[in-house]
Amino acid sequence: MQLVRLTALLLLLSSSVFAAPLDKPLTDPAQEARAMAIGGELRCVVCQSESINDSQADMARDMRQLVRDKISSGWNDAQIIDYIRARYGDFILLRPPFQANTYILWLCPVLLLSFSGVGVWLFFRRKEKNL
Amino acid sequence: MIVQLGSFALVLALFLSLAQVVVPLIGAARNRSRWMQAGRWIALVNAALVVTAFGALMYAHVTDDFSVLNVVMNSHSQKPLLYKITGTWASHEGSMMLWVLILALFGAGLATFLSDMPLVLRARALAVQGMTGVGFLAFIILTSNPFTRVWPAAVEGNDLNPLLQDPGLAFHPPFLYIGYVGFSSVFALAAAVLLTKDLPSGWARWLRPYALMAWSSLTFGIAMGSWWAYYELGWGGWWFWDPVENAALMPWLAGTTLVHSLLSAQQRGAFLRWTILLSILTFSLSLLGTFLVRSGVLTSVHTFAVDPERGLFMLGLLALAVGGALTLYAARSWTLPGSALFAPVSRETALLLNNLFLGTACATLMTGTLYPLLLDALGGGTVSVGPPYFNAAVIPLILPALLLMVIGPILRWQKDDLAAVLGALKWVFGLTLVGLLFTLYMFGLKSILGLVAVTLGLWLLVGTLLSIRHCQSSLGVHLPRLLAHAGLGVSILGMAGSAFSQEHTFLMQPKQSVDFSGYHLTLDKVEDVQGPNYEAARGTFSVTHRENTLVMKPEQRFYPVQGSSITNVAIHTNGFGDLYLAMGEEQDNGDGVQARVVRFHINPLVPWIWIGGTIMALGGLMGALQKRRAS
Amino acid sequence: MKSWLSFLPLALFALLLGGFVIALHHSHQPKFAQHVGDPVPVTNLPLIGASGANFATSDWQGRVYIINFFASWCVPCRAESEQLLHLAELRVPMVGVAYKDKMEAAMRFLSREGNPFLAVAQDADGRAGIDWGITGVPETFVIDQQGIIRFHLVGVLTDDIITDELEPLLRELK
Repeated sequence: MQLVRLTALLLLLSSSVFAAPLDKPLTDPAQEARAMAIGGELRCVVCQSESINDSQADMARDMRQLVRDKISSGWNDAQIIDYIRARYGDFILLRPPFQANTYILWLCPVLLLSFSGVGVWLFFRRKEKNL
Repeated sequence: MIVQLGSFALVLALFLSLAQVVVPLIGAARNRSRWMQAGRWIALVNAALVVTAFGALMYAHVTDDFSVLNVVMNSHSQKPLLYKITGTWASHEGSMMLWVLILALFGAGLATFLSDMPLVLRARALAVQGMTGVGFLAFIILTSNPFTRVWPAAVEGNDLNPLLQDPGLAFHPPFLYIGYVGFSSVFALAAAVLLTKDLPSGWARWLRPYALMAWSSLTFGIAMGSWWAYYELGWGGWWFWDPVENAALMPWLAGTTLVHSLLSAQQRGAFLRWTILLSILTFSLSLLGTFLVRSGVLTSVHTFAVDPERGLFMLGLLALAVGGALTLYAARSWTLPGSALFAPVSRETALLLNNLFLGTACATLMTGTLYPLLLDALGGGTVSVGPPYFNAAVIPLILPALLLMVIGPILRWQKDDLAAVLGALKWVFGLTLVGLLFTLYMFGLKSILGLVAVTLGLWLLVGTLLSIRHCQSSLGVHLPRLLAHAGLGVSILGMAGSAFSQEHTFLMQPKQSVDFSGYHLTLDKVEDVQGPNYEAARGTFSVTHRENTLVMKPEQRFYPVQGSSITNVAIHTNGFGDLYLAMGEEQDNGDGVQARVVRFHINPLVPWIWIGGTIMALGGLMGALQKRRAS
Repeated sequence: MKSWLSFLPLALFALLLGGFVIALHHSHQPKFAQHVGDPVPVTNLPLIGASGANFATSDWQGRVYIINFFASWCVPCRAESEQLLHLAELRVPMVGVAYKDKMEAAMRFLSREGNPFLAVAQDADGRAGIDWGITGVPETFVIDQQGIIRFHLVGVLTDDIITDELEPLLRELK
């Protein structure tokens, strides 16, 4: 029992978690939830591959603030994302838009499944024929 | 002196690896058993040399030998001993040394274990393993030599970043590497199988222990990495679809299909060609991952130094190893017999479908990871592929495989009756439904993905436990599968928990209390503290839940040297969930009063993710070590 | 029938390899940061040292001018101060934007490093920087008479860039 408590104490003391800095949230929880959701869709442009929600960078913080300000001004989600996308390009979207240069990307799972599905069906048919 | 010895040993290992390629290959071609046996000894000496070289590098780190460039760049005399030891592999050069160390040790394993393996097969496998060794040792010696000296020796090292001194961060690479690199032995054996005529059937039983050992270690390494990310980065995120995470997940998915394929190959002689192809592809994905992380083509938090020369060399290695093996496959796969007959409802089909879904998931993951860089290279524009894509595209592909994991093990080989099997699962259906309804009652429709995860996690856990009564022969034979599948179920329940996390942000002043979801929080006081290299404001909170009170002390730290402000989250974990508490800077709360931003998270069941992962790894390890009887 | 199928993995791998070779040789300059060809973002910022007056892109319509985002806290910005003064000799009007900087700090920086700018605007909260799609400082833009961005440099200005790229462009625009 002592050991359990000691371990728990050590766990508590040693838990160093360096999280993204805390922003002052919007007072309306629904709006704040929107801000977090949009933040999860935007890439931090000065980081390697984090979203602006997860990043410690100043630019990410500025972007999060921008998102909150636009939400408070009454913009809807699509308007806010389009605004930032107009300035930073498709690069800033963590969800690649469905457009000509991403058809292969988005259709790949369906295409692969279809091909392999056909392959399996042919496999069983051939086995039947060979019986 | 020791460093010189290490450097010399490294070069000797390169030559010995060349011998490891040539001697057993000639022996196998000319049926000279003396030469083939010599190959085994060469592999053992080779391993000893690489161990020496690695040991010398570790010695240099531990003794603060600042005449070695690698130590100067990555260490510091004030670093705790533990992190000096683990710092041996914390740089590009050091981690490459770990790579070849594991490679050589697996080579020694190939030379030693599984006494019923035909000498010809063993010899050829050693030769292929040796080829990989030649490639990587040459890469190290020519482009990434850890023993490069600095003259005059530096007075002190450069790296004393406390943020990097963390046990999770320090220890997960060896497990990952035993995983990644361990698949080289299966790759080598598969090539040997393709090269060897008249192999006794059931050769899959020689590949399985190596595949399971590598898979088990990779599972544990990924779990550990995810655990570190969760505790380090905060807010309950434990997987970010970062390219380097993906680079580890791809061989894991392929490795999972491989161990399942090896099962049907060993027991039924089914899918032999697929098994060989998967053996090649799994290690190819490991090599791909190594290339991606070190060549600079990807941008990621983890990538090592960007050096075009290294990138090109590594690409060459990739081309030779994978291209060579796939050419061999194309030329020789026809020598392997096709599968015996089996019905559309059978265990073979379940395994086939399992592999189909996991394989497609792996291919999709690869497409998503490589897409931005390839699209940009071909002038198609710049896009990012982040978590929203992977969550939408990869996760749905894994779900059917999870369903099959409970049905497959109780299906008979060759032919079975689906209605009867589903009938046998009625208790599993029932209990899973009860669990789902309970979760709906507790959390409502807050997260559809969470509900799906609860359903599948329970399905797996309950289904696996209840399958025990269907186990013929002793339980020990089935234990690896039971642990692996149940472990995954536990893990998925942990993932479901994270989908149901609750959080709220408050503005609090000292002595103020707030209530959230059954928890009563009081900010007792905020005090200034001084750390070794930081100043901080530390908040003392009392958190009360159902008459239990605990104290949590988050901090807002400022590191003057780096000039950065970091939020130090307080975590309390009890095995069934985590509480997170973070305190930010002072803000105006709208009424002109200064208050602190306080964020409180309740993450139910999340530790189960890594407990489950550990159980899975144990299952794999057990499978690797067990002497299974082919039924 | 069997033989061609077993060549499929090799063929796919060869394609992938080709892609990697191209990717390795590809320039590392991130394309997303390139705004050449985009219309100039509508900007209206307070001027430093001329209280009440503003810098507005609408006022500059029809003129060729250079915009340079800098900051007193930006270490690499110091490395290009000499080059900016060289650029000023080309007699194209230059406007500086002090990004997330305090007025006094920015002016002190310029008096120490040399002031190539005709006007210095202040982007205190960094919003203008986001409007211009910058990812940090320093960044330099050239805008033509039609209000289109014709040049965009992410990073420090060098003499080579001035002679090889900027001088020809500015001559052409005049």
